[in-house]
Amino acid sequence: MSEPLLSVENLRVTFDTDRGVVHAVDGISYTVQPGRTLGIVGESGAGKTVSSLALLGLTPGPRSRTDGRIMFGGEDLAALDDAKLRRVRGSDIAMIVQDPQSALHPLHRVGAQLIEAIRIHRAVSASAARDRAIDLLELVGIADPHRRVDAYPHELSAGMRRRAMIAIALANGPKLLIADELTAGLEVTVQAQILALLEDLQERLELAIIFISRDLGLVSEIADEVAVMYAGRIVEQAPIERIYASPQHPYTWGLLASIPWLWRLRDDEPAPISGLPPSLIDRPSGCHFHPRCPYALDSHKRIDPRLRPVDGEDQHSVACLLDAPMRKRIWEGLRSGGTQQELRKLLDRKPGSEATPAAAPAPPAPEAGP
Amino acid sequence: MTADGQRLVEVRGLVKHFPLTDGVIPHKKVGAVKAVDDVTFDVISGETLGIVGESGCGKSTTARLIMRLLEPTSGEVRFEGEDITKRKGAALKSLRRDMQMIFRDPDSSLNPRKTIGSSIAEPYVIHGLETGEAARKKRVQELMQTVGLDPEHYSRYPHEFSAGERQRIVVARALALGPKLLVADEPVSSLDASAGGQLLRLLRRLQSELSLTVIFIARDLSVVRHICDRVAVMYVGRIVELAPGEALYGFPRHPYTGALLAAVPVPRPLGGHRTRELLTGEQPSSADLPSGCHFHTRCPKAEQLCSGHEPPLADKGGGTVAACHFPLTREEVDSRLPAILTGVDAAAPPA
Repeated sequence: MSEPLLSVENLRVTFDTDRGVVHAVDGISYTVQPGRTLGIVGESGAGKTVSSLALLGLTPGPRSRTDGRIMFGGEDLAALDDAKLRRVRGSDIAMIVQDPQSALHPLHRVGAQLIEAIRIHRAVSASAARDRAIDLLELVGIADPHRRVDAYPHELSAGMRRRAMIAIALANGPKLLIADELTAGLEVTVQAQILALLEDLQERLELAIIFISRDLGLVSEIADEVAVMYAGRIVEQAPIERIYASPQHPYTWGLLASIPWLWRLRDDEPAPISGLPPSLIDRPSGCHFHPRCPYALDSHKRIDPRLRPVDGEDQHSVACLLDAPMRKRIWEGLRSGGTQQELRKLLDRKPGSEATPAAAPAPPAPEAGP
Repeated sequence: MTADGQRLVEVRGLVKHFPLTDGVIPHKKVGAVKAVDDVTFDVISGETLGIVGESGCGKSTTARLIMRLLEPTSGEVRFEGEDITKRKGAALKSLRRDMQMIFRDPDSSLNPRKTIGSSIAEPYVIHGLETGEAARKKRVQELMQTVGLDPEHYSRYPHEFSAGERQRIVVARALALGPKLLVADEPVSSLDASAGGQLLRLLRRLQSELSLTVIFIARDLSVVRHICDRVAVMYVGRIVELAPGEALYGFPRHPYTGALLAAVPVPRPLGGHRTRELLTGEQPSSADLPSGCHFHTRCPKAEQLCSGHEPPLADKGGGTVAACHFPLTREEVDSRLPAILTGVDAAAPPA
């Protein structure tokens, strides 16, 4: 494995609110290799967006706090001041934010917005920047770029606006592109076009991509590696092939079972993941997932699992208190059509299964909270 | 599902044109948006019929025409054999007891200032049924139980529930009058995957328990596979293909259906990839439709004939009807779509 482009170590973001401290991102670590795609999946509120905004110092405010190391090109971004971070933002690391309505200014021509992005980072003439803008529009597959460069955002279709946003992100030849819910709200046929464009650009420009989405099915089509986030933590991390071949976390099983076309619906079956994501102020004790986990045991309410390597698997880690053979039996049971209740019985029959030393770090767990 | 089952709804040559007026002189008609343009199909009693297409294809307009929330420009909708497009007054009101609709956004379907108990009881108030407070409350709590809500939450307000639960409240209200037909307009689009999955399972269960007939509207083919008995695919105002669910996935005949399937994100470990043929461009405007087959401007198989002659909906075998001069062949389907989508045992979980 070559030197990673980005290495995030124990990143934490908290927001101090009147109701208490929000643990939005709670000690996550990951690396992104040059030219590869990391997918981050999880429900809304899992910390996907906040964790990537934090990379660029975009979670400011007197009541927020970011800790951890963000190593990029030999520098710790977390230690840079705002002026230095500005040189990185939109240049080496570009981000496409979630909201397509606010990403483009409605009263400025697309070309002007591209030229602005170019000239913030480069001392080039207006006409050279305009030529570059036209090249960029062509790069992202916008037909007739000489005319479209003077178009206003409302004159473009939804798919073309999304392409223009990608063009702005690429304006200064970034090494890392962060795409947050890039295809949300698009028609499926247009979504497919945008994904194909992203893959094509990645190959041509050797881009590394962090692709954030709620939809595991979508992420699995583009990502080389996947990090599954729950309540501010990464609960499972693996190359995409491993996520499908041997998923380890009950939450990941739920996400897989939520891909609607893949599984037959059985009328008597409870939903793959019931309940709601927890509050990030008063987080559940022990494993944060235990209130929604069909396989939670009493001890899981006390012990907070850490992300650990999965036995016998390369680059695959999981934060789960069930032991590995039990996880394997449950997943295989689910795959061959077993229900959650039936498989739950495996655990009740074997009450000692939780206490194997490999899976249970000794309480009190260091991550147990503030 | 047998084709000779009893028809609950028959839609015949349904047309809805919205006039385009000149902004300067009001009411001067300068064109028309052909939202629904000659649509004909049946809904069999007890089935779930999916209507699928991109925004602007006319699927919601079709549903609203069936519900009599819009007046058709021409054409007929027959409910239990009787044309309902001319019904007025009391006859129309009694029809509402037989057909109910749920919408995409549960927030705008519920009054935030009303307890959910009184929202669910609203149909009884309107129709003067279940009079007597105790009886009405008992009935509402039964309904809440049916859709998996805690009857104790009778006096709570909508904001105290999650989006998925709010959509269940809407379903409970739609079931209050014991309708024969339930029209669900993108009921899971605003929910995330797990809440959406819960609602799909609920609809499935209700359908078999209450022998409901369901029209299920969706924007793409990913959700309809296991919930619909038959699926109609619409493209700018017309049905381009209508087939049993498994046939539509296994052997799509219209190139647009093929393109919608190709657009379903398939995980790479399960054979998905992005090198397959993609549809170019976006759906044309319903105010300025292409000649001939509306799809010819984006169709990978289009030939001269397609721009001049509109293909009729015709039997393509296997229970499928499609409107195409050059339907997809088995070889094309096998080479362009991942086997996990089209295969016979495709519904098996990941291996």
